[in-house]
Amino acid sequence: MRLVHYLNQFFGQVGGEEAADTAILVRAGAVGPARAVAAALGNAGEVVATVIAGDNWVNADLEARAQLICDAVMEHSPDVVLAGPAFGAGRYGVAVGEVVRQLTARGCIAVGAMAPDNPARALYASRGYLVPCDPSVRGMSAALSDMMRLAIALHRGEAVTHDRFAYYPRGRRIMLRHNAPAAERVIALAVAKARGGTYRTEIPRRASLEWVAAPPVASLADTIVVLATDGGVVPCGNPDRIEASMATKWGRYPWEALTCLEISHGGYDRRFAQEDPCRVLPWDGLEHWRAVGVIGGVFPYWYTTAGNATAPSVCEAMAAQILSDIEAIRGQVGVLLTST
Amino acid sequence: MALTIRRYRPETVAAGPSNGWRGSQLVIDLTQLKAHLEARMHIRVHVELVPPESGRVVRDIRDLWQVRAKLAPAALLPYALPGQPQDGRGSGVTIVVERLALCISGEGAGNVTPCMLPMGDPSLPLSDHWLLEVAPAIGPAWDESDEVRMKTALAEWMQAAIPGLQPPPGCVQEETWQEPAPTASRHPERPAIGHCYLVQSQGSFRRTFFQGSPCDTLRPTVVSPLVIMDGALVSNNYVVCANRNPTYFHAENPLLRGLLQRHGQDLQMASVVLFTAPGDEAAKRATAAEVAQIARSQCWDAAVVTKEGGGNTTVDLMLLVGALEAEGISAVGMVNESAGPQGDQPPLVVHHPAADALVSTGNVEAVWPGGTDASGGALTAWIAGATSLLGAGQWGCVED
Repeated sequence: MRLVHYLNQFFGQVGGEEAADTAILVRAGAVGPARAVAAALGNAGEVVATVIAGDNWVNADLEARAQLICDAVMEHSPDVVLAGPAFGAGRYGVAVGEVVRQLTARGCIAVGAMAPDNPARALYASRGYLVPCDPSVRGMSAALSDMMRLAIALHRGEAVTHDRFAYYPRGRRIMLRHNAPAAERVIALAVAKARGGTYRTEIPRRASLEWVAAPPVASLADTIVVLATDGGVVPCGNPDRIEASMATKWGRYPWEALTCLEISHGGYDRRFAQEDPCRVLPWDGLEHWRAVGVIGGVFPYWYTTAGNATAPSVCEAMAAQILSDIEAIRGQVGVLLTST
Repeated sequence: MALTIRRYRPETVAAGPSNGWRGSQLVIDLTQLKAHLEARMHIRVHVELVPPESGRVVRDIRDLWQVRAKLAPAALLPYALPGQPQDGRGSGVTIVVERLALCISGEGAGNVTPCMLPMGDPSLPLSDHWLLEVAPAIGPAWDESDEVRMKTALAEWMQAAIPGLQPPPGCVQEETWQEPAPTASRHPERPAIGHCYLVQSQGSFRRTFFQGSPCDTLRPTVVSPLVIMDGALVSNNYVVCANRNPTYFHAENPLLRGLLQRHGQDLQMASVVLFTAPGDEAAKRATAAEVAQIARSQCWDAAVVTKEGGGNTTVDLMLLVGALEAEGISAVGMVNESAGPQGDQPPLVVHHPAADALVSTGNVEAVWPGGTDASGGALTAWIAGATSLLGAGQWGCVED
């Protein structure tokens, strides 16, 4: 296993605060704490290089200089990269977090370490593997050990979970094959909870998603109304191949296409919408309002997708695209969104 | 009431000239099955036995059935299908053939997110079975009544073919399940645990049948677990794969089996309340309150709430968990997640503050670990049993 270690000027044995402006340095083999890593690796691997940079130098242009560090690291074709530990040091923590983030984004196995109260933790914990450690240098040995364990497991493709490895939660849900089927696990959970014992949920509660509704339109009579639906009403043949479930696509169709419609949606009984699509896409009501002057006009197209097991991020992306599409027209616009 | 399940466990399964046993190998006459189905349905039906070691990915699965027959009362088909007699279900003797599953497959006609099963994957509950694949030639006019007729024809075939099999002694096991007695007194070391069993039933090809009747307007009903284990629930909604239960897991329900197996040991199995998910919020709240009141009247200490469906029925599950906790009943839930392909999306559309004990059956949107389809593309978890909503699978999600 080829390992590269990233350190700051102090742990890279260049100097203290007076050397914090040191630009990137690459040393062959292990320097400073990387020597302990090399010793622990033994025949299992090799520290091929130590990349060193001063804290001020990195933080002065964080993204670009971390990129230079990552380029230097990748030149050594590492299997894994360690960064830090940064302990409680703020500038070093930010540098470690950014380097780990960028390396992870490049598909490289990278593990950093910092103390729980390091301000960089909040910035970077969800963006790469960061191991908790003591705020002071006395935690060096334990931190290096935890970092190596995690990095080696990742390199071997082992299942990495919090019950086996110490790292800050990354906010993702990962699939894991348990020893027992879910039915056994849920019965054990029910018995434990009913007895008043300790128990642990497999799905911790998160903060609710919240959206703020747009303010009402000032005057409906001056407003062009756009009709949009997540009920999957599409022209016959579903020309844009909008998925009936977990949709990633939306469509925009002219009203002339109303003559032949079908429903691409797997989440409700489509017969009622197929009998009368106005139940989902209330074109008739909108047209009536336009005729009697309640609304200023009807947008010449309708928008559709299938809101069925669709990820929130995909919904947000589709909404942004549809809004951008609508913004091509001038004047006051309101959107009437129907759902199933 | 007692139900005896006689389990035939072959070592292998093969196709042959007649149904029977060659030592510990079960032989199935595929020609006879095909002829029976084609005569009953007047269409072409493809029948194939797929061994687990084939490594094949079986596609377009519409339902999965356990192979079984009803020995007594013999008037019953092994599964409760519309138009069939139902009295006596949950008692008598039922034969179950293990290591063999019936797979009804076919493209189109309601198949929205077609289910697949990669054979031989040791992490999946049914991939170690021989799969008896039955694929009718489904035309554009194929509707739910055709599907039900075909399932009835399959049930008739099982009822005709299975009881006559005489397995060697080493291939038979028998278990007898007693109806759990009503919970009379509280026992702190053996809490009374019931099952709140949500089945989704939303019309054509989205429907579940209980005792041969659609569950679309089912009111919360106390049901014997033995009735369910005796094939009372038939799924006609597995055309939306990862979010639904196939008939196989309704009958071979791992949660009910687990509760009954532990009955009298570390828990008391209470009753089962079967219910469905209404469409609007007021009705959802009313249903949750009604189920919770039934649970209280049955003296439950704890409830396991299961559901099928996506975000819509997560709302029903959460409302029920809240209602149960309000009645003083410890509620736990078993639920699938929709956390996006990378697992970085909120896993549940809603999470009640009282829902502090949930088991995850996995992320239905996850890319299947290590899996590729025939063209080398990534598999998602739309795989039979992978995220089994009745807990047959070992997969789940954890925080990263």
